[in-house]
Amino acid sequence: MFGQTKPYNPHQEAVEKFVQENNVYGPKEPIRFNLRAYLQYVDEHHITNPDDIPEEIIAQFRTGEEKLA
Amino acid sequence: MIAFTIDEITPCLKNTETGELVQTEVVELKRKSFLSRFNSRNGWYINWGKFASNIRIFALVLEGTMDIQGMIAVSPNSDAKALHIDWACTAPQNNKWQYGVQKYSGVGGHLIAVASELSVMYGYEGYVFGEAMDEAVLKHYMEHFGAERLPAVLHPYAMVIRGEKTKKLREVYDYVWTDETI
Repeated sequence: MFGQTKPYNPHQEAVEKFVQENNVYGPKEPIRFNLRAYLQYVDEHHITNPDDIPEEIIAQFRTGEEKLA
Repeated sequence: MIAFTIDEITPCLKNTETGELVQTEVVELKRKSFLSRFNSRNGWYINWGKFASNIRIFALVLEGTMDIQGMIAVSPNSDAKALHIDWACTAPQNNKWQYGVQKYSGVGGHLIAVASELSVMYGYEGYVFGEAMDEAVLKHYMEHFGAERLPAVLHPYAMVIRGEKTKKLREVYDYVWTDETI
């Protein structure tokens, strides 16, 4: 119908954006990331913001084929 | 995606109108035809019957009923040695953000507690990780539950809650695991 708009709903919009941008239903490939080693690194270097970690360091925690890419 | 914040830390769900505390159970849901009843058309955001087979889905129900108050989809991740929360949300009647009503409080905390207990069962010591719905939800978990932001290469709102932080949730929440699956 002309002139009819959906009411603004930031919650639903965030959900729809997430569904569009992520492979929600699969086939689900697990996230390949050595989380425990990453957390150990964070602790040892007293890091509070992951943006402070250089990309090449982050890449070391990637596992599987993603690491090779 | 984690689409809620934790409103109250109570062992049981609380009826927001009467204050009555109600006991809960956790039921695993497997039947796709049943899960497909929960979808975006009736307030569950996504079609829960479409998840891949490696994702396990659990419902938080009122004790002795199939009155579902929230659901969580999870998958074990051996690389991360943590349980990944693929999706988690409250039932529409408890979703005050979306619908402005909340019949029961405490659902979100129960679901995170369920996830952390599953993490323990998988041998991951209670570590859980996932993606918050947005920056506000991420900050809520960082400020109140010790969540830590993960590198944006995983997801802009990716976070982890370590096992020692989820331990408190596991100790507080009181629900019964049922052997039944649907």
